[in-house]
This record gives sequence, structure tokens and C-alpha cells, in this order.
Amino acid sequence: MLRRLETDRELLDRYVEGDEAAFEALYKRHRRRLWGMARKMGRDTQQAEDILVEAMAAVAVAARRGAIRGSFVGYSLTAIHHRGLHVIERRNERQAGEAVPLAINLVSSVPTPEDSVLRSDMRSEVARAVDALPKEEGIAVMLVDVQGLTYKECAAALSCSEATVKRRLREARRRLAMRLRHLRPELAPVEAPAEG
Amino acid sequence: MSDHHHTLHCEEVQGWIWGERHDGTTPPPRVQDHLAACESCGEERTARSALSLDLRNLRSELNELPPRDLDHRVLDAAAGAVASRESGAFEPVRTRPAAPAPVATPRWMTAAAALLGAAVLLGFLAGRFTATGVQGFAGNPASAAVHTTLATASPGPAMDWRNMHRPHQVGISPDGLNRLQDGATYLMTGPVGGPYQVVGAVRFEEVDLPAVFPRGELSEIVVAVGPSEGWAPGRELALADLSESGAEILGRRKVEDPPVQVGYTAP
Repeated sequence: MLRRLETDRELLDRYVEGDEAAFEALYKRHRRRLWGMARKMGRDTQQAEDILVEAMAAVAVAARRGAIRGSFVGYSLTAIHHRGLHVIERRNERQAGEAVPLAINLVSSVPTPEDSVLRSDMRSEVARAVDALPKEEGIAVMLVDVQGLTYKECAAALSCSEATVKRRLREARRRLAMRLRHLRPELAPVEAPAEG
Repeated sequence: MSDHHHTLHCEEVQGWIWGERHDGTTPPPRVQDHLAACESCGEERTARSALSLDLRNLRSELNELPPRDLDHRVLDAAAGAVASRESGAFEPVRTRPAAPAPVATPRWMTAAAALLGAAVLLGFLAGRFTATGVQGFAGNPASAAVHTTLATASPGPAMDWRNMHRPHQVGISPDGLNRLQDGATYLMTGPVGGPYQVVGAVRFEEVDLPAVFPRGELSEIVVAVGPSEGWAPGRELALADLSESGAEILGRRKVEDPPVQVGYTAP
């Protein structure tokens, strides 16, 4: 017997009507990307799990209210990103208030073999460069260039126009290319975008 | 900065280089002409392509399934948060395993409406299936339990009866349906038995739209979950390559109509 595969929008509509299975189907359909974003935002696996759980609970509430009008995956990735930023900010505040022993600073300033391996890892460098972008540019890069969303989906998720997404990406990519230039010394230098 | 005898200025071309997606799409002819003649813009494009590759690599690193028990925690927390909101009680989201949250029961009217809709749809699809002459493929493990429109062909000369968009549906088993992953599920086309060319990743947001066009010969359509590093559009894969790379075939469909050569349009 034939049965039609439902689109995300149809599943969202079913969930608004109270069908719990629809949310499960949506989550399972996109969980690889959602988990990828949570891993990117979390310091370790446990924190990434907490970020995913908390963000998806908020997504479920919004979905049940019918508040997700654009792409489900775009909305969810943005929720995970925001949740992750919140966790990072909380962690930074905590750490700022703690006295750090001098000995640890001295030790950590000497590169360990593990540090050297990490530094030589191009992917870690790329991830750090993305983290260092201005917040709005960083999320646009994560959604479009890393997670593969279209400009339209990204615009819906960030509640802005496609032109804004494009502008943020253009500036972010130039910044990234400039910051990562040392990874590819054979390439010509890239002109930095204007700050602001 | 460079010669300005081109139709486009460097600034415009660099706007295109850094503003557009670089996913295998060919630049517009005017941009191509400029890139061929302007060394500075050519270098910027090389830098942009390198960045694209770095970011795609980051994606493949993050392209793993979550731990199995995490799925339960996510779904329990989601159900719990919705139930709390609907009952008017405030309860913080539990991020660690907790007692199962209450689950709302679907209303009987919703179920009845869904059944009625499915019956109407089934009637429509049954007619469409016969009309297009597409038949099940013996090698399809799915027995056409679930289908979706993943490709639309528009081949042939003008006025030819074949020169119209026709949906080709690929059956996927209920088990395969659970393994479908947005962004990691690929559509391929080619001669029966391969080798196949990757058309692109399946997007569930547009599952019923003619989002992609088959590459090359259209005698068989294959849907498979790809390896973590993914496949670029146009990549050619034999059946043996699929099994060696850890890919999982979810469905295959032999197209009974005469094989046709079709163009490719980026989704």
C-alpha cells in the first residue's frame, strides 16, 4: 500500500493539532544536523546533550503554538545556536569571577604535545575562526555554509531578509578567509571587510 | 587593481565571489569572462573555494547521529515542556533523564480526518502511478511502502509527449524511513545497475517539489544515506562504491520509459 512521505510543514501542522508522533518524525529526520550544531556549541558531549535537549524542548513549545512559520530545521538550528551562546556566556561569567592560580597560567602558556596536535588540526582552526566572528555573522555561516541551509531558510530562521543574510555572509567569509590565510600560504591575501 | 575593459567591475565580481554559494554552480557568463581575464579576482575565487572546502569539512565532522538514549531524552523533554505549557504549570526543562512525561492523546477527529485525507490522496496517487507508467522495481527492498517524489524529468524535443515534468517515485520501507536523514540522504540517477551520478542531497522541506533534475541517463533512480563526508553533485558511484563507503541504499526505482538524457539544474 502506498503512503506519501510528509513534508516538514505537514508534520508541523499535525503537531499543532496534537499528534506527538509528528514531532518525533521531524526530530528524527533532522537529528544529525541538530546534534552537529549542539556539538559545535557545547564544550563537551554532556554539555552538547543538555543544549540539544533544552533547545528542542523550546522548539516543541513553539511548534505546538504554531509559531514556526518558516523552516523547522532552520528554526531548530537557530534555537540550538542561541541556547549554546547562552551557555557559553554563563560559563564565561563564571570563569571571570574565579581567581586563576598563576602556576596554571604559566603551565598552560607552554604548548603541550596535545596542544600542538590541536593547533595543527585545520578543522579546529576553522571552528575557532567561526566562533570568533560577530554573533550575527557566525550564525549565518553555521546555518548556510556549515549546515547547508538555503539563504531563504536562513533568512526565515533569523527573521531577516535574504539580502541581509547575503551581506552578513559576504563579510563573514572575507573575515574567515583572512583569518585562515595562514593555513593556505599559497593563496593571495584577502582584503578585510570594513568593521561595523 | 586590474584591467577594466570587462563588462563587470572587480567590485561586482568580488561581491558575487563572496556572496554566492559555491556548491558546483557555474558562474554567470559575464562573471566567467571577467574571472578568465582578471588575475586578482581569479585569486579571490580560489581563496573562496578553499574556504568553502574548509567549512564543508567542518560539516562532515559534525554529521553524526546522536547517541540513541539522547533521542529519548530530547523527545521526553519536548513532550514534558509542551504538557507543562498546556496545563499552565511552569516547570523547567529537565536536561537529565527523568520520569516519563505525560503524552497528549491525539484527538479522534484528527485521526479520522487524517485517514480520510490519506484515502483521497491514495486514490489520486494510484491514478497518477498508472498514468505515468512507472512500475515497481524488483530490486527495491521497500515494496513501495512509502513513496515520495524526488526527481522530475523534463527531457525530449518540444511538442514531444515526453517533454513534460513527470514525477518518479521511489519506494522506501518504514524502516528506511526512520533512517532518512535530511542533508545526508542522496538522490542518484543512472543506467540500471549503475554507475550512478549523484544529483544532490534530498531536502525534506521541498519533498514534493520538482527540486532536482536527474543527471545523465535516467534508467534507474537510487536513494541512499551517504557517508559522513557526503557526496558532491555529479560524483559517479558504482554499486560496489556505495557499499564500500558505508552508504545505505534505502530505495531503488527502475524507470520503465525509454532512457533519456536530461540536463541538470541546481536545486
